[in-house]
Amino acid sequence: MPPLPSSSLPRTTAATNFPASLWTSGLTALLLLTTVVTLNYRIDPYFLHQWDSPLLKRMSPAQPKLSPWIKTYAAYRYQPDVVFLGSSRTEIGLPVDLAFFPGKKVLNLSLSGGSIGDSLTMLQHTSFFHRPETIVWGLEYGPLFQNNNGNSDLTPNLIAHDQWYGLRRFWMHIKRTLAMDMSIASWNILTGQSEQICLPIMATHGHKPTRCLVKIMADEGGTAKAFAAIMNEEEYPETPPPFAPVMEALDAAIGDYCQQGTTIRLFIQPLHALNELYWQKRSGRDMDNWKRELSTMTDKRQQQGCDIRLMDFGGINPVTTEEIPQASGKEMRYYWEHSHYSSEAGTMLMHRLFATPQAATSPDFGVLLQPDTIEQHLEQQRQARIAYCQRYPRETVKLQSKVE
Amino acid sequence: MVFNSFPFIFIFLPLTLAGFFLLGRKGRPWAASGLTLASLVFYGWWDYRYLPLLLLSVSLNYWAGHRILQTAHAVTRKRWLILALSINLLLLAFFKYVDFFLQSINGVASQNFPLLHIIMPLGISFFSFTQIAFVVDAYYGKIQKISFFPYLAFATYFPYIVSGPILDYKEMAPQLTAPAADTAAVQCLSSKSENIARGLALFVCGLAKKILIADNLIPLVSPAFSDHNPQLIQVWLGLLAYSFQLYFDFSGYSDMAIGVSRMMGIDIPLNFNSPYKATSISDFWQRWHISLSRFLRNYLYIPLGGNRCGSFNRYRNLMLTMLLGGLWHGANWTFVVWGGLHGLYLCIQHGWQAIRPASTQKPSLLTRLSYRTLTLLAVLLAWCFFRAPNVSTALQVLAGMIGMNGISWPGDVEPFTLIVLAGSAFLAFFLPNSQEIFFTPLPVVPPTMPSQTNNPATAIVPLRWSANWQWGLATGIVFTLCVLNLNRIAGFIYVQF
Repeated sequence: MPPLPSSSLPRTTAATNFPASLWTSGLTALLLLTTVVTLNYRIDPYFLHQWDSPLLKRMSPAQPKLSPWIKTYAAYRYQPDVVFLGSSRTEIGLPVDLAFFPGKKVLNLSLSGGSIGDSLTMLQHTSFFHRPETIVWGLEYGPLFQNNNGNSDLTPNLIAHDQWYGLRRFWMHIKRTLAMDMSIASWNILTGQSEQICLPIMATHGHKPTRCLVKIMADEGGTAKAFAAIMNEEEYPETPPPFAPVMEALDAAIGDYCQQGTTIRLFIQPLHALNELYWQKRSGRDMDNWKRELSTMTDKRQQQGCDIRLMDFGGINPVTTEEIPQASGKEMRYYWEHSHYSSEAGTMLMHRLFATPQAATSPDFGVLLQPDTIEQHLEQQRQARIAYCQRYPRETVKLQSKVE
Repeated sequence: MVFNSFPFIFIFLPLTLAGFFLLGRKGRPWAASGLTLASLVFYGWWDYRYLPLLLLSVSLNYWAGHRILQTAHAVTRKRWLILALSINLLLLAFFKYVDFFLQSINGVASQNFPLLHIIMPLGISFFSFTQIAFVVDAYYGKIQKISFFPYLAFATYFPYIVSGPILDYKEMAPQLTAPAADTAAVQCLSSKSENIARGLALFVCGLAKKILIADNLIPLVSPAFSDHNPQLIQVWLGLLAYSFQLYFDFSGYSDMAIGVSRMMGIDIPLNFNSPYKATSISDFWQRWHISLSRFLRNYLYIPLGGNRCGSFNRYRNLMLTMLLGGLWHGANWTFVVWGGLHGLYLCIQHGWQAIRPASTQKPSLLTRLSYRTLTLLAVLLAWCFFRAPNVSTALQVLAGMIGMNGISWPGDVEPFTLIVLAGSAFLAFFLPNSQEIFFTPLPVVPPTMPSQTNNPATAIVPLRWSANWQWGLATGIVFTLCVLNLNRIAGFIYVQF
């Protein structure tokens, strides 16, 4: 059998050069890597460890990178008393107005693509340092009502579970700075080539700034184009997962926080009426049952003395039925597109949710969901959907065929 | 744990090397024991629950080997051999193929046997084959003496266990049991530096192949094999990209394994020798996954009868060897087709050579180029099945290759990816391979392998590593680039086999 060529080699001459070669390699790598780490850590192009620093005045690109990194770190450092949870709708729609919660530290911990599982994870994370006194939680029927991870950047190592979290995060940040994408971003900042659109997300306590949204919508083709997608049924290809196991997890978490005296405000997201029609067409009964279950769960906790409310801002109401822009591209007052509402709508929602004096200015926006009134509410919504379809036959032509 | 990760590069490897050299002061057996511990940590890092399986496999094979060596009675020896082979093949069949067989039975006989969804233990194909070779060699008297701890160090040796190369106990044992006077631990400082410098440079070269080349080709590959009715240009770009991705991914891993071993003064088999410079299919198999080729030849093809029992049996043995070699890669009919195609190529080549024996004269450049092109086309065609998730997708891709789905330029191709593709083609076709660069001259060249001097392409850019500051600087820069791309981890392709 012929021997396989092996990696053995004859000992070569000039052995004295080997240590020098090794030192050159090592020192070169050490020098370069140290430079990159120092530069990227100092510049922090993605604002990974900026939660309350002057760097937050630096303008950033419209789409923040690694939001879960930013928000988990901010939760660790800021230790908020009030947290907002949910998906990108809450991140975009709910501005952190500190006047609502005087003297309290407020943080919007919602994540783009964030599922219920992600919200629970964020809640567990922030509670590790300081249990929030108030939770404001945006819920929505659909693919994000699930226990699985929705935002793929929210990895388990970002979540606190021991006292070494700070040290671990420091190491993680050092590791993350050793990356080509971050080095290019730092270089672009140093050379003035980076996109400077809006303030970073932590400058507004986790709420995505409006200027970022203006740019994103312009890049995506505008509000009218986004509405065309839902009218042509091109959104949400997947079927919503069964909600029962998620409801169980949600109920357990709420029960836990209720026992600790936490104030909980749940709300069903004010998605545009066309979005509501879309889901009603696909799984109307399931969606109604989902609302019933939520109201039963909330009622049960209320009976136990919990300070909890559930309001439905979705369905058909004066805000969600705002006229959509036609091809001319007129922007909307309450919506960026069919599933993302504006800060103005979000502010109204907060007034209604916390029953402030200004809540009276929009009395038809948001309905308190309770088991004894929910059937009436669902029937009213059914009628309202029919009326909406009759009023907007062109917009709803593809969505109304099986509506009622 | 994988080679292309922070924990391996910055924690595991430095600690293992330090431990190896410190323990080595007491002798190579001590160093080998430290190495075993490191290997078990390396393996257990993936999933510690599979460590008992690995240790069970190693213990059973050692026991069988030990019994074979201790027994003079031929029948008893044979029984031990059969027992050991059965255990290895049963483990492999259970963990790797049981769902495949159930699926096949369900498909053919319209049954509905539930699948077991067994998680395949990491590296089972490699440590099983390595140990099969060991017991067979023990049976044939090629191994005279074994002891448990060096065997444990050999069978669990971390550089090979995930993706090879398939090791040979006869080559490894002397390096793990050498008396203290011969060990790297007592080598002079400069000799140790040489090992580390050369090994590190080779490790970095492998890392760069994986991270800077193979991983950057993925965007070209995926669409060709996932789109319905892929078009001509998309398919050719995808297939070429996959050919280079696979080569740089797997040879990158092998380079890293050889480099890490070299740092410890241990030699393991080479696995690649510029396979895309091959001028025939048999030449290709002497350059591609060389340790598997050797295993298949020595432990399957020759025991089947090799070329000793006439032409028909020779062709039958070739086909069987390649079909089983294909199946070894994975539990999918695509791998069987891939192996079958290579078996067919080899039969055609041998048939052709029987009709028209090779001329004694050196072929012209044009002839050699045409041989290389033909070989490459045949290999590409077979890769199509190797990469496709199923045979019907592979057939779609083949249809795309001849333009049956249209020929338009794919819209989402990044110029950077095309540059990487062109660069990888240049590296594979015209540059010397990593062994030629880092081990000068090529150490042991068997008669079946073309030497460098017979290979015109390697001479175009004659790169040779030497211990000087320029190479040191280049190694440091390339290493930095690799580290800066470590956050986009893509698994090694051969890990799944």
